[in-house]
Amino acid sequence: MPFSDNSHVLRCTCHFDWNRRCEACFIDRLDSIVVLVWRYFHLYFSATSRHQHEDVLDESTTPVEAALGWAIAKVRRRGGARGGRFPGADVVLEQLERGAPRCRVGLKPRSRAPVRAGVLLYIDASSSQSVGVVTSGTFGPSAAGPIAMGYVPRALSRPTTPLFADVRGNRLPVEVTELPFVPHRYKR
Amino acid sequence: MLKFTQDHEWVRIEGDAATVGITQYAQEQLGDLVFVELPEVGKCFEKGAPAAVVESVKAASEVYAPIGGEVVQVNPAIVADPSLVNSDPMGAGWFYKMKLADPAEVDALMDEAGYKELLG
Repeated sequence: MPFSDNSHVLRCTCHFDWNRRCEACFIDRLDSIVVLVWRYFHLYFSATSRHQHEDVLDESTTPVEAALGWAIAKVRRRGGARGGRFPGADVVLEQLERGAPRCRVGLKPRSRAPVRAGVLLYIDASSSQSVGVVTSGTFGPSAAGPIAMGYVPRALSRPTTPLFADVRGNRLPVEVTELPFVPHRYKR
Repeated sequence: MLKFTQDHEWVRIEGDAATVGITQYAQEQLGDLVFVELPEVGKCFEKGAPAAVVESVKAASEVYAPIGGEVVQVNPAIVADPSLVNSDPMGAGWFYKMKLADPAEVDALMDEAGYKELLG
């Protein structure tokens, strides 16, 4: 568990109060954006999935695995002015440098059947050992087909990697794909 | 003869053949359908067994066999274009045809007036 003791950090209201610093959180106000993003995603995605192990973000997910590493400030990274010193720093910083064992990826089912939260992922049509899980999925009108998101081992996270999703006993082909599903069409 | 089930399916019975679909009410409750999975021709179902699956943007739902029997024909048009079920649930949006195992089971289903009463 990377966030072995994050119960206070998750509940503390100091992250919402820019004029306060909570000693118990060990988090400076600026860095609290990491926790805010994490909490926001947690609330958002846990509302759409039915069981805890299907959450895009739960207590066992690191920001690096969830592709939220961008939210960790430079000063908090190794070598930064205030490097480390946040809950789970050892694991998170290690993963930032070496890569996380599993990654959040976009999945594009090849067939028209929506692949939904909780569906297990396999490397072929017959293996009994799953390699990942879908954390959310539905039909995407803008993508004109089903879309899904889930966690897979880093070795299987490259776009176009073929995988199989077990939907009602049928192994349906899916493909790891770039996120977002529909490319941005605005100028920065 | 048109009959209805508590699960919002309709059955049109002609002799020992029955055409099965979902009702206007079911279609409205499900919302835009994006995927339909139909049974294989030749498969036999008991009354109440899950025979088909419909998925809308919102959720996946099973369509139960309203009466026991053998599937003799399915409607490939709704697999190609699931929105047919939304636009014409009682007509072009039919699901499958089956050969009844026991025509007496039909008597247990609701008629149109009974179904309207169920909807209130």
